Amino acid sequence: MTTQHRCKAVVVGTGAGGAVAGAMLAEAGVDIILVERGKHYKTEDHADVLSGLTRMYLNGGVTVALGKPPIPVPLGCAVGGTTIVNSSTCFRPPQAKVAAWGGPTWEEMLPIFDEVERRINAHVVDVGLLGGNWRIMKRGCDALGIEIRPLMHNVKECKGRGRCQYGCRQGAKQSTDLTFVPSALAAGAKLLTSHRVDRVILDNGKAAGVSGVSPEGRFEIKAGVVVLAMGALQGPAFLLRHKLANASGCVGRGLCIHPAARVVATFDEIVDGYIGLPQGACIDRWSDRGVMLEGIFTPPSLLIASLPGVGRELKDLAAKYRNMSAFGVMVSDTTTGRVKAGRLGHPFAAFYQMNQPDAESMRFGIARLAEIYLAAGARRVFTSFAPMPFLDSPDTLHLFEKTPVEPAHFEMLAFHPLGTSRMGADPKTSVVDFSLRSHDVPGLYIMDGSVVPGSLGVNPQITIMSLAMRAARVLADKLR
Amino acid sequence: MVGANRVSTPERTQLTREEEVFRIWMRISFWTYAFGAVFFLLWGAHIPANINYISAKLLPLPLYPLPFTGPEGAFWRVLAVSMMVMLTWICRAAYVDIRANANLVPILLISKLCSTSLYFLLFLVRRHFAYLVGALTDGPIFVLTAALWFQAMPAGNYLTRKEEDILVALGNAMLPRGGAFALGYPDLRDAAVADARRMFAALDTLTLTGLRLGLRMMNAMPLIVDRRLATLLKLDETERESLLLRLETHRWAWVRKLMMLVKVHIVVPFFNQTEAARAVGYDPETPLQP
Repeated sequence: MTTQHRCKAVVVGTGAGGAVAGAMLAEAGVDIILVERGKHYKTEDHADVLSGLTRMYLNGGVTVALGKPPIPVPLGCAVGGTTIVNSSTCFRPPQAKVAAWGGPTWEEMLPIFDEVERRINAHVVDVGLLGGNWRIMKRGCDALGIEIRPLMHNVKECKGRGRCQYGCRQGAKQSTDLTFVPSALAAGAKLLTSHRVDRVILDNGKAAGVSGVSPEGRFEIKAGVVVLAMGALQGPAFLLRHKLANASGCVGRGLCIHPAARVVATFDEIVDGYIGLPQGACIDRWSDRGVMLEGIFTPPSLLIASLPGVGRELKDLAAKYRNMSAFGVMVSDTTTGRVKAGRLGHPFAAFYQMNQPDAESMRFGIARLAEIYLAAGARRVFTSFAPMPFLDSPDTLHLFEKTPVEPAHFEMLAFHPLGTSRMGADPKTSVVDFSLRSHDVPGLYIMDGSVVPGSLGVNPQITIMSLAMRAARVLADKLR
Repeated sequence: MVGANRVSTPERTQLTREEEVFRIWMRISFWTYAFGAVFFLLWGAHIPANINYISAKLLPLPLYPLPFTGPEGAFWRVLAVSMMVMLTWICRAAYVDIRANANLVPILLISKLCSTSLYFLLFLVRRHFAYLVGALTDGPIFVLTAALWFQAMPAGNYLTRKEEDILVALGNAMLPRGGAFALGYPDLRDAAVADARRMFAALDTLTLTGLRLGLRMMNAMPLIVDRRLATLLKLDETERESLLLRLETHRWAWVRKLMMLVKVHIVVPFFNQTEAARAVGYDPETPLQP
């Protein structure tokens, strides 16, 4: 038996885009239903790292962009979407990128950024919250005359327990499950969890609702407007599977992911990098060449798994966990990949073959981090680069900078899929307009990272939230 | 299930989606083999002639010499029919109670693998269309049945005993006792394997199947990378450790990636145990000192 629902607007997804859209619509008095594939976890539900990985990440964290090398792109799958497992880092998009979109102006976006940041309590954190990782990096940067600065985070009363990516046990991270989703519910929205949408209902070519499966069986939601906020990987795969909104042929194309690599250094002194905000600081000195350096530290299970060696060698290294510092390199990619419909139960198939300039940028970023770490007194710097897994002196660093690189040499991850249903004015080259309304299917909106046309070079949650807020307000005005 | 470890599997009453799919396939197979048995019994003698007819019309291949229509032909037909009846019975047993009887499926698989291989070899040697028809019929049946059976095997997302043995062997080599801290994978084996199962349980069918095949491939690595007739399980711990070190820096990227994937499924569950995390000085309750 199919459970029937009816509302004015249905929003699929509760991450950075969907939750904001839901809150804006509900607060404007629109009767909405929020549909989420994952479960709703409370702060007290967050347990060990493995629970976080297995319960709150899509496919246990094993979602990959295929290429040489394959690059894991972990995605959240719970109320809150990826905001529940991100590092809580907040950046406004670079002004030049906003100008290049050709849509909303910087001045138009500024008050929206302000409001988003206020609602998620985004602020530049105090250096006292950054722990040993900051201390080490600051020392290295000071020695080389490089500026390092604390980042803006959406946290409240953060205790610096270093567990942002596995569900904050203190409830300090102001992910959308603690901010916009409760706002939407307080304004009268209904939330359906563990409901997986598998179809958009069309009525004479117009989006008229969604249907899918839940633990209780099939469900159907009739609605005047459908807002898809499934993310830049699942969203286009869904559209392609159902041959929707793709007259431009752009759906699934233009995938950017911000490939990232972790650099770990060992010191003689105790660092205790796991205490404090893991991604507390950044070095943006080389952002003009597409390289951003941001803090990253994880509990031992994941950090040690990323280190080279096996057997006694690995254990010797693991025993230095308290003496480790870690920072990441994030490349504003010029590579673009592609998303296709998933097969055999997998929600999407993503293909991404990093190009040589991006591989060079990655090497450049790793080299700069190694330089800073060596200046700070590191004994060894682990590079995530297979031909030279670690560096221990300026000479080895010099050699590293001269070694020919290929993308396949790097161990990378990526966290910011963007660009696969790009917004734009021209229906021939974009999927949605600047109000995030489909060019092709009346009543269908896309409000997630997929609409951002290309790489941002910074963590995208503020951008996604702000675009969704702007578009949802325009939509609410129409629906009222 | 065959060789599967049920010990720490949560209680399950409903069939998984993969078991349901396999059950449907077994039902289809039941009717197919049942029909085949009757067909072979009544009209089996005419099959080669009909294949020859098609072959003569379509392909420039030598015709299959028509078999005996007398008593000797009946002798071979009895064998063919009896095998079809046996396969029919296996399929019925599997769809009636898939969990209790899935261990019969390998008989069916061996039978189909054997017929496919022999038909194919005979076709290569004699070039008769009839042999190609046999290989093209039984081959896909074998592949599809094997794939669906393999997917249905992890009902509840646990590993087979063999796969668990491989995982433990890898864990023991990757994190042995002694060295910088005393605790090793053998000390936390049960808890670490249980946590590895939690990780496997979170995967979708495609990824899980890939990972399980990856584990089996790890077992074959001495043969794949060293061309040595041995499996990882047969090596002693020192040899395993040395092999893993070479895999980690191997020139083939896919070997390095497989090694990394397996390493994650060993190291993460191990250090997820409080004792192991504390052994490297991690205490999540340590307050931040501004």
